Amino acid sequence: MTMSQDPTRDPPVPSMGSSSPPPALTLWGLIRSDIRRKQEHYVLVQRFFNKYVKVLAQHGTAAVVVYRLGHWAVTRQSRLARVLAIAFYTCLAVPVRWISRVVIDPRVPIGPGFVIHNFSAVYIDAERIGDNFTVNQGVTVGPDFRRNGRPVIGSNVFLGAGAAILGSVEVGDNVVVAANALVVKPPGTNCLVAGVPGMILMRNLPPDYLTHVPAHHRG
Amino acid sequence: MSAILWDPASCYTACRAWGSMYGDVRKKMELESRRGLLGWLAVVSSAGTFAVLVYRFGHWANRWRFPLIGIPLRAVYFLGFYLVQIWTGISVQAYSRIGKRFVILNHTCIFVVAERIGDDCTVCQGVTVGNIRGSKQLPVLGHNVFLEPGCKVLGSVTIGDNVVVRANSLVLSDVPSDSMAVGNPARVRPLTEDERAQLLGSAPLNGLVNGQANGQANGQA
Repeated sequence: MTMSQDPTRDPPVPSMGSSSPPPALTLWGLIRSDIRRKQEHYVLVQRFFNKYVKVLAQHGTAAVVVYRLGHWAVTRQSRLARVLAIAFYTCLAVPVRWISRVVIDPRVPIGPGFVIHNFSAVYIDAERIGDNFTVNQGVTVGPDFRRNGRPVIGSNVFLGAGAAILGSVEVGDNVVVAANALVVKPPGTNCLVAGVPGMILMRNLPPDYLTHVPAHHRG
Repeated sequence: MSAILWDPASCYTACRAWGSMYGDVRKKMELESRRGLLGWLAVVSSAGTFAVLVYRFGHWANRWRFPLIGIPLRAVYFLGFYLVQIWTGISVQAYSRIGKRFVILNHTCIFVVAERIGDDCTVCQGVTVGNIRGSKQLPVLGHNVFLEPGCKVLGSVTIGDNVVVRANSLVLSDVPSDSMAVGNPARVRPLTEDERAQLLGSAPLNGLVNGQANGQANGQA
């Protein structure tokens, strides 16, 4: 039973990336979607340096690219190709893990547009993750002390710095998890979660909640 | 005889440090549900195991009173300690007395200095166990304590046996046995029977032992 089928929750709102059959992107297409999305986040200064040099030189980008390679490697059909690809991935993953301290299990399927903004103490081991997943530093997505299940995360989910989603929790689409929040109960869709343990601070979150610039900050 | 030669656990009294390492690695393999040679290699090559190894060595080296042996051993230990800090971001100081089967899951931002830590304790990334700045009172942790990612245990805190500190919690006061601390600052509630069994059983990752949970989690039925 998925979160969207639960009648007690809010009705699901179709999100940008959740058209029913997800387009099967190639490895290069996925990496390009991640980098494009990260480039879009430099909303204030869209200079060549920010768009290309800075984005490509970041630790988070390296971790995402290596994760994409790893997921591509573990999903190869032929055994020989899989072993060779995993060996190549491991050679890249070990130094990148040392430098960036970002640990992502390559078996986790993550949709296109996956962005890691900052880079330390990130640990991601989920059942599956939707499109446009945004992660900051210190984020943990994984099993809890019971170690009997891992989270399922929808599309357009933003995790603030230090946020933790633990155990078999289903997080719906368009959820914003505030910094240092702990999510142990399914929050549903379109909401803002904060606190330890996480509580829903706002329902029916507007789609531009994170990118909205208040009037007194404009121009 | 062969058991004494080949089974490091039975050499525990002969060489405490390496015997403890055997238990640490076995417990970590259990928690990450890894098996066989590849699983052993993955666990042994992980940063957390390396940090625990350096801690065990340092704790053993600190016991040598004879300076001709003790000082070189401690020099080697401090080199290893700082290398571990730089490479993995794990700082488990040799001062604390840590029991058997101590596991560090993942790495980065781990700082552990306690008066005493019991057996079967598990620490995840982002955990701080230590003193409040300016005071010398250190926490005391009981057996079977699970510190989830990002939690902080500070000051002269006594934590009982079979305790879970949930992620991102801040523990500044004592926690009784068989309870769960959650919140910032932490509130304590007793563990349910189910949770206690899961904690004590150290159910492996994704419930490979209790296959029902595994199928449910993977959506395989």
